Formats: sequence, structure tokens, C-alpha cells
Amino acid sequence: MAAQPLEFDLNFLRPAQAIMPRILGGAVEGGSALNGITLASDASGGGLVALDYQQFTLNTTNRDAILFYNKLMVALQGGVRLCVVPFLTDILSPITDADLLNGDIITPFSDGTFFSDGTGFYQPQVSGTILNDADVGSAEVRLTVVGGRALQGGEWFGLNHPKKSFRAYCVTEVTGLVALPNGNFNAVVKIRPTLRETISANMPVDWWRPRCLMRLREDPQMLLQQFWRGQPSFSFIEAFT
Amino acid sequence: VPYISAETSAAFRGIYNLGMFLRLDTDPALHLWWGVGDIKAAIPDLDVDGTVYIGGGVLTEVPDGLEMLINGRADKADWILSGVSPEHVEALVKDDPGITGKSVTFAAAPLDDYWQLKAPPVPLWVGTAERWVEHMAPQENPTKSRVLSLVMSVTSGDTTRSLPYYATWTDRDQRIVSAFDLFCARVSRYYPGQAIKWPRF
Repeated sequence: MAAQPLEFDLNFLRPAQAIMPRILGGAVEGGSALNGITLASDASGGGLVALDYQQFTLNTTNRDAILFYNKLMVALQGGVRLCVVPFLTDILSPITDADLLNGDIITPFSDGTFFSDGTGFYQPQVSGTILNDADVGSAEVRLTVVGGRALQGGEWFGLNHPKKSFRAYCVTEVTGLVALPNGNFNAVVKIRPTLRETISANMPVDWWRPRCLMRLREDPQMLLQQFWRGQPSFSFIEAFT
Repeated sequence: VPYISAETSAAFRGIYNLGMFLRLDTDPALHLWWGVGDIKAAIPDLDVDGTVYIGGGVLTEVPDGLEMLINGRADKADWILSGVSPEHVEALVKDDPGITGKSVTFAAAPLDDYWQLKAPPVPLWVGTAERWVEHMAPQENPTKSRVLSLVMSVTSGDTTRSLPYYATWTDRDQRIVSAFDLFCARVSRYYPGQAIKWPRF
């Protein structure tokens, strides 16, 4: 039995910049034609999601971050252990411009009271569900956008599969978009990568900060100047157990 | 009916992404394809509808030995699955699937821009599984992690370990088969490209 995946907590560790999630494929050149154009063929079967977080700001005012970085770095080194990584793709989500500044919706209990420490139930401003069942390997999904704006393509979303855990997908094309009277949207979208597991209707869609089960792509190093400040990075790639 | 249907060959003529599939006829059959995620695909007449091929990872190398039995030469091909966890190998050792003699099919299919099958996979090469071994190369670079691999040796034709390798057709080889046969007696004198006269014994 493999070790449990670690959780990457953005509250402890926040990168200053990121190479946004992308898909690494393996294109094979097919030889050039008479007109000089080289045909490429991809034999990777869809590719893996990769993500780089850079410039974590580590300094003595935030020792928790240094320890958290070190914990993740050592535990994940070698790329054996896996980690659930939240995607800071806020700008690549269908959230409205106003809500981007509003933060999460905080809901109290039904009688208006909060937890004893003043916190409530947190819910992202934009959410959604899957509308139709779809097979594993499928590239077309029907889903909803609740509380957001119309899909344009380029948005990332996450699904929590029962077996394959958290997976992130990117909308590459919007082939059908219906605006509902209540301001929500039903959409038919093409996605990359293809579905990692068969999905069923009513499955929740994480439009806000999708998560993905990943591992380190290369071993990181924590360079600390004068032993107290540094800007290390992590580069992750999608992983399967 | 042609071996490769008109629909499939038309799909292969266009622009496509290549999907490669490996099927090992154990019970239950092993379905692997060179992709990251799983895919629903079925080789016609071999798989039932709804078969899911498991994503085996990214293809790093195609074995050189994928040849048919040509000119009396049959090759063995080693199929290597790199990056296997020790736990999985342990499970494999405890419950050996017994692959010896099972049919191995290598198939290819064209995929469209969305990694969906444009046509069902076409079996391109059929071999017979011989044995599997666990393989880990010695560590040469301590900064890189060691990779544990599973190797499946597959034969085409009848080149199993117990049979001699009749590749050169020497006189001695031929005499093992037929002790008084002079048919290959002059082979050692020949060189590639020689115009050979029919011998007058």
C-alpha cells in the first residue's frame, strides 16, 4: 500500500509566480512533406498536466512557511510520494470580475450563528456540476457554471474521481452554451486531458482552485540566503498511483 | 473483407495522433495502451465492446525487434514497463499470472484531435509471451532515482529459449535437422550478393 498523498496548503505557502498548468505531450515528427511542412503526431495519448510554483517567499517573519516548504520538499523528494496540489488558476476560472475580489462566500448556520471561533462554512463564488455521464477517455463534457460568467475556453476545472482522486482539466473549446434564466450556464465543452475516469451526472465541478494529484518533476532545493530568506520553487507533474 | 478496413486506412491517411495498444491474452486479459489516462477501445474480434485499456504511461522506445518471421529469422522483443513500484512487483510474484504461451497483440489506432478513436485498433504484430522478469539497472548517477522495470519477453514465430536460433543456415545447423543433407554444405563459401549457381553434386 502506497503512502497517503500529502496536502499542499496554500494558507501556509503562497507562490509569487507560477508557470500556469499546462499539458506535456510527446509529439513525434512525422517527416517533412514536399511543401516543407512537418507533420507532427502525438503518441503520448493526451499528455500529463504539469504545474510550476515559483518564488515562495520564505523569511523569518513566516517560519511556518519555511517548515512547511521543508516538510513537503523532503517528503516528496524522489517523486515517489504524491501530493494534492491546488491550482492557483483564479484568473483562469469563470468567476465574475467582481467576485474575484470578494473572496469566498461565508455561510453561517441556519440560525445565523457562526462557529465559536467566528468562522462559517466556506464556499467558492463559482461552482458547478456535471450534467451527463461520460466514459473514461472522453473529451467532451456537459456541465454547469453556477454563479459565474459564460465559458470562453481556457478555464481550468477539477473533478474528484472516486478511484483516480483529484484531476484537473482545461476547457479547450466551448461547443454549446445555454444561459439559464437564473443567470447560470449549461455548457458542452471539449477538454484536455481526456477524462481519467468515467464520470456520472451530478458530480461536483470545482471551478475555483481545482486540485490535482501530482508528484515532483524534479528535486527542489531550498536556497536560503543568510539562512533566513529565500525564493524556492516546486515543479509538479500529474501522477497516478 | 480487407485486413485493414477502408475506413481505418482512410483515417490513417489523414492527420492523426497515434494510439498504441498492447493486449496480453491472460485470464483476465491485460489491456495496456501508451497513454496517460485510460481509454475505451476494443480490438475487433479480440475484445468485447466496452473494454477499457489502462494507461501504461508515455512510450519511450519502440522495440527494434517487431518483425514478422521473414527469411527464417524470428525475433524476440522485450516489452519494458519502467517505473513499477516494488509493491506491484511483489503482488505479481505472489500471484504469477502465468503468461507463458499467451498471445500478445500489438495494435495501433488513429486518434483525432481530442484523443478519441477515429477507427478501432488494428492488430499489427502478434507474438507469444515467454516470460517476465524484474529489472533494475545499477545506479550510476546518485542524483537520479533508480527505476524498477518489468520486462516481458515476447517471441514471434518459434524462437523460444529451448530452440536453437537458425538464423544463418550453416551446414551444421542443417545437419542437426537432417544428418545427411548437403543442401547447406557450401554456405560458408558464399558472401552477400553472390550470384549462386545451382550446385551439381
